[in-house]
Amino acid sequence: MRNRLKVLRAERDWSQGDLAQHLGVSRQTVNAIETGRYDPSLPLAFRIATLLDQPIEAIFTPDSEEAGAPSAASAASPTAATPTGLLAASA
Amino acid sequence: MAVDVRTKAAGETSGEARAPSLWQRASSCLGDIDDPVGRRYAAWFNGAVLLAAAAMIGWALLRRQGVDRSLVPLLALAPVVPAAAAAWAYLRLLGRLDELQRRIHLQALGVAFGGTVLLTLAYGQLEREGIVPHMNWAFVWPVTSFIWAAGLWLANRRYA
Repeated sequence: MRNRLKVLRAERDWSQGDLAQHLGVSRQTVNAIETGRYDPSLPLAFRIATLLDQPIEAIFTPDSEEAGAPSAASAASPTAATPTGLLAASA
Repeated sequence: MAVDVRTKAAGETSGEARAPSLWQRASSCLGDIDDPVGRRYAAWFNGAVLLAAAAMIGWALLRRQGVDRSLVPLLALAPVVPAAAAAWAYLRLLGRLDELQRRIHLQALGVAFGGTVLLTLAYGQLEREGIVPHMNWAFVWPVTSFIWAAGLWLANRRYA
């Protein structure tokens, strides 16, 4: 998983130790998450998202996607699935 | 928007009363160096292990010079007390670890278990055939501890 933890932490002017203290984990864990060597558990990911006031998917992205880029599902046309879109496509 | 990404140096974290001692820093591979209680358990563990080792060596040297038979059980079991203290400290330390540190310790314990099984099996088979000299069971735990420490070091490096 890729993540924006380092950037979000820096925006708040927090050190790794500060973030670790807020999350109740070790600085080693924060560093490992930021460097991509460790993916947090779901409860920890939720704690991170709550602390940083961001949705989880805005912080963590799978390696197959670029961070911040929309996924293939969300990139589909917003009108295609609507009744109006279906009628327009069949016309 | 440009973001200045900084990481404060160790020891500047909020809430830390005093810097860890040299002994506690040496124990930091066991857990979180920023956790003062965890550091204390790690230091207790290392100290107890050294004390147990010293007691074993001391008894090995003392018994060669001859000791009153009534004291033999007491002196022979002397290393058990600090070893028990080490086990207590380690269990207390395990309870304070976070999810990544528990994974690291689990990997180290797995390596120690597997390594000990393989080594003792191999040595036992060779000893039975008279190829290697007889080894006292009391020497299994130092071997296990060494493998465990190596596993812990490797696991910590993996997530550093």
